[in-house]
Amino acid sequence: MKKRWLTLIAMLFMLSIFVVACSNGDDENGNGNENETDNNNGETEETEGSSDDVEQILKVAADQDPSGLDPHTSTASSSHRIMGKIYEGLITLDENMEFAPRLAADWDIVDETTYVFQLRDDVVFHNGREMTADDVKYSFERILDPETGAIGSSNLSLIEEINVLGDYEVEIKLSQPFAPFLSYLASGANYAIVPKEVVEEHGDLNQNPVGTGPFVFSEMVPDTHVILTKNEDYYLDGQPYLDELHYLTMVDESSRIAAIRTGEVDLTTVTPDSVSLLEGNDELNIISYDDLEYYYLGFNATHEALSDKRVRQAISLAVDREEIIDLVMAGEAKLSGPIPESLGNWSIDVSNHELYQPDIDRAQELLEEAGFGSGFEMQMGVPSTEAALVSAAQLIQQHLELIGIDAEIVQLEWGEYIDAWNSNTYDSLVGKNGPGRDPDRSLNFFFSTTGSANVWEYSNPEFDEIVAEGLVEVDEEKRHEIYTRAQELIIEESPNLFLLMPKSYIVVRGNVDGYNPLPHDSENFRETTIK
Amino acid sequence: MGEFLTKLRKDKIGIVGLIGVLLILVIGILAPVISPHDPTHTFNEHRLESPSSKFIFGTDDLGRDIFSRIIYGARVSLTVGLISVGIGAGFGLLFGLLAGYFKGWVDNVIMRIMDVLFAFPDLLLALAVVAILGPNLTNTMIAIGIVFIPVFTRLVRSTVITVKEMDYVSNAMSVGASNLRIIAKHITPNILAPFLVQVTLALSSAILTEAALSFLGLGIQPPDPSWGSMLNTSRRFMELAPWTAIFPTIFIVVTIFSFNLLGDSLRDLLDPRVKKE
Repeated sequence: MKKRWLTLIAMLFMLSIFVVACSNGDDENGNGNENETDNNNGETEETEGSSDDVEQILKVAADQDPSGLDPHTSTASSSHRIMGKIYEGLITLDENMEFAPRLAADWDIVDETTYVFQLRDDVVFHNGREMTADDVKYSFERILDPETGAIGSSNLSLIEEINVLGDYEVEIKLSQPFAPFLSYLASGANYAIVPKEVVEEHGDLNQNPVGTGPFVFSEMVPDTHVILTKNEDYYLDGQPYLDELHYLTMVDESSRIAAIRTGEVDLTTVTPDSVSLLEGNDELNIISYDDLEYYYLGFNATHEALSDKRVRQAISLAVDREEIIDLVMAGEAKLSGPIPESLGNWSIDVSNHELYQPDIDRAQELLEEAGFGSGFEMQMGVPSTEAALVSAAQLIQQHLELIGIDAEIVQLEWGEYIDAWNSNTYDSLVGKNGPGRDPDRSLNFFFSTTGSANVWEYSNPEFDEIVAEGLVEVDEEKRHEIYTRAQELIIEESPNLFLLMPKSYIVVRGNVDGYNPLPHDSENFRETTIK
Repeated sequence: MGEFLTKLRKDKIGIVGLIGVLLILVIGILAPVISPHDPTHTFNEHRLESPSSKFIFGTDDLGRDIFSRIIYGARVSLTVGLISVGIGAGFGLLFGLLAGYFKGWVDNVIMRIMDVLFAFPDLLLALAVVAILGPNLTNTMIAIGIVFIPVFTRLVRSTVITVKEMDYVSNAMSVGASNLRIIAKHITPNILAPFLVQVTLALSSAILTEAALSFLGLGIQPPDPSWGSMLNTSRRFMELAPWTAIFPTIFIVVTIFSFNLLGDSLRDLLDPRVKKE
C-alpha cells in the first residue's frame, strides 16, 4: 500500500514539473530566443573561419513528401519543387518573367503556327546519354499520348507535327495559332525533356527520375528525405555550386522552426503566424513573397445541388473570405480570383465583386430559387496535413450552416487527397491550386470542358468558347480583354470559390549565399553556396 | 456490495481515481451548463489569446474558447470510451462465454479469429478499420470496439473455463439445468469481477486510442472538439500559444490516470487472493 502512495506522489510530481516547464517556456519566450541567437552567432564565427572546406550541402525543410517524380504526370507542389531541380524544359523565364534559353539555345517563330528550336549540343541526361532532337520529339509525344495521362496534354493539344530537322534542331507545327505556347514550354517540369530508354525500362519516371537538370536524383526515403547530388556534367559552367541538396520531410511547422533555428536545415517556408517567433534572430533572414497559388473550395459538378449555378453563388455569398484571411492567415493574405494578383496585370480586382460580399439573405433567396431552400448535406474533403486548410474548412462549415447547408468535413491523408482531387470522389474539396504563369493555364486548364485539371467535370460552352478565342489571339490587348471576360464568367459561375492568396515566408540561415528567389521559382539554387 | 464499499473507502488511491472519474463524468454530462461559451463559436477578435478571465484556458487559432472545447471534448472522450468498450465488452462476453463453455470446435473457431485480431497492434488495427470505414465519430467507436473484442473474449473464456469446473456448476448440470440457465445463473455472475476490472482499464485505453486517432486526423472530424484533435491543431502553435497544447494534455493525462487508478484498486479489491491482506 505504501509503495503505491509513493508511485502516485512521484507521478503527480512529474506531471507538475511538466506543466511548470511548459509555462516557463511561455513566459520567457523572448529570453529563450536571445540566448539561442547568441549561441548561433558563436557557431557562425567558427564556421566562417574555415569557410573553404565547408560542406556544400544545402538542407531544405519540406512540408510534404513528393508524390511521384514523373515530370509529365506529377502535380503535387511537393513533387514540383524537387522535379524543378532534376528536369528542364526547352526554355525558361528570367527574373523579369521574359523567355530565356534553357535546353534550347535559341528559337524562331517562323510564322504564327511554326516554331523552330535550336538545341544546345552539350547536354547529357543524368544517365550519361546525350540529349538530341529525338528526345524532344519523344517527350512531347509522350505528353500528348492519352495513355500517359500527362497533366500538360491539353495545353499541347494543338501540336500537329513535330519534325526533327537535325540532331539539334526541332520544328513544331501547330494546327492553329496558340498564343500561350511558349509560356507553357517555359512553365517547368510538366513540359520537361525526358529520356525514352528510362521511361521504357521502368514504365514511368516516378521512382527513377532522370533528367538534364543541375541536380541528379540520388535517394528517396519516404517520410524522411530526398537527396539530390550535383550534376557534374551540367552544361552551364560551374553550376550548380552546391554538391548536394537535401530535402528533409518535416510535416510539423514546429519541427521546421526548431530545425531552422538549430541549423539542422538552412531554408524553410513558414506560415505568417510563426514569423514573429523568428524575427529578431540575427542568424535568419526572412523573405516574404506572394505565393503563386490560391486556396479554393471546389464543387463536384455532378452533385445534385452543386451542379446548380445558383447554389454555388449562394455558397459564394455565404462564405466570408475576409474572416478566413483574418483568422486562418493572421491577415497575411489577399482576396483572389482565378488568376491571383501575383501573376501580374492579368488578374482582375475581385474585392468589390458582388459575390465576394457576404450576404446571407441573398444567399438564402438563391437557394430557394434553386429548390434547396431547406438546405442539403455535402461532404467537404480537406488534406489533414495542411493545418491551415483544415482551419479554413471549419470556418466555411460555419458559414454554410447559416444558409442551412450541412457540410461534413472529411480529413484526407495527402495521397488520398490527391486521389480524391483526380477522381472527383467528394462533393467538394478545400485545397490549394497553382494557377501557373499564363492566364490560359489559370482558366482553360482548370475549368474548360476538356481542361486537364478540370477534375470537377464542370462544363460551360460559353466559357469554352471564350478561352478558345484566347488561345488563338496573339494581340496582347485583345487577349487581356478576353481573359477578363473569362475571369468574370468563372467568378459568376463559381465552379470553384477562390478564397484567398496566401503570403508565404521563406526563412534562410545567414550562411546561405547567392540565393535569389525568382517570382516563378522560389527555390533557385543554381548559384547558391554555403559559407 | 456493502463490504466492497467499506473496503473501497479504505483504499485512498482508489478514492482518488474514483473522484477523478466522477469529475470527468460530471463535466461531460453537465457540459452545456459548465462551459462559458459555445465550443465551436469563433471569436474573431480573440485569436490565439492567452488565458484570461474571459477565456480561462485561452483561445485557439480560430478564436474558440479552449476551456469550452475541453469540456465538450470530455463528452466525446467519454462517449467514445463507453460505447467502444461496450461494443468490445459485449461481443467479448458473448464470444468468451460460448468459447469457454462449449469448447470444441466453437472454441477453436472463435479463438483462432481472435488470435488473428490479436496479432495486430491496437492502434494499427484501429487505423485499418477507420481507413476502411471512413473517419467519423461512429466509425471511430466501432474501430476501437473491434480492437477490444479479442481482449475481452480471452479474459472471459479463461475465467469461464475455471468457473465451469466448480462444484456448483457440475451440480447444476447433474440436476439437468439447461445450458442457458447455467450460463446465465451460475457462470456469468461469477466471472464479473475480472470482467469489470478489464472494463475500467479498457476505458482509459479507449480514450487514449480515440485521442491518438483524432490526433492523426482519423477520429472525430472538425469542428467537434476532441482532445486529440485539439492537440493536433496545437502543434502549429506550440511555441506561440503553448496553452493550446497544455490544457488538452493535462486533461488526457488526468483522465487516463484516474481510470487506471480506479481499475488498479478494483482489481485488488475484487481479487479473492488478496482479500486477506
